[in-house]
Amino acid sequence: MVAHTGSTRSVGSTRRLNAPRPALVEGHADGTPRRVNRQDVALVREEWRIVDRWWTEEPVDRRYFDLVLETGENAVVYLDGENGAWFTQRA
Amino acid sequence: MLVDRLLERPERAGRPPRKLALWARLVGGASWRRTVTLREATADPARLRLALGPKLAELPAPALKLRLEVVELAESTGEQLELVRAEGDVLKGRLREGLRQVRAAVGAGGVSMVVEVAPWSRIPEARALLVPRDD
Repeated sequence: MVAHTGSTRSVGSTRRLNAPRPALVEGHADGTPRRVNRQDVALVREEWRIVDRWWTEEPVDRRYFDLVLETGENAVVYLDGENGAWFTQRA
Repeated sequence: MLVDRLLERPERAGRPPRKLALWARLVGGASWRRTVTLREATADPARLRLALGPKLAELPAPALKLRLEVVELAESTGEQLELVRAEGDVLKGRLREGLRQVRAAVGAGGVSMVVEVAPWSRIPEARALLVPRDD
């Protein structure tokens, strides 16, 4: 069982696989991403929400977006509802 | 000459070198050292010279003294080329040898394995850990 999920902290040199990385995201008024890391979003393929561990001191509240950027690259980003920051992650 | 002398050392017990180091005392008193990790451990003098030669070209000044060190020896003494596809213990042995080469090249902690801890988790980073493998 993993005790902490909201950070990239490690034990010794053991690391989490697929830890989220900060992303630079500009959004529309409805909260959907418009630009990711200075690249325009061409298409929002999917959107979903994860709310978990609300009973712990590290609750998870994320709004995920699976995107296609104008360059053709795929990207998954999420808005962290706990601190308002954007992250990118392979989902 | 250094390669031949190194290969004659009885401590080697037939094991081929995997990682070597060239050390030199330079004119002016400075010292210089370069390591060479072989893609495949070998005791073939020609292949060793081929791997070490380019490093000698990096000497920044004339050398007064030159030394060749074995940093690491492989465990196996040789390998027969295969006619049939390897499997079982042979395959595992090759994997171990490959992992040793990676460690020799990049140091301890260079090889990790993925350990699933909560593959069912909805939180992507909670599903698996990268754990260093030094065995």
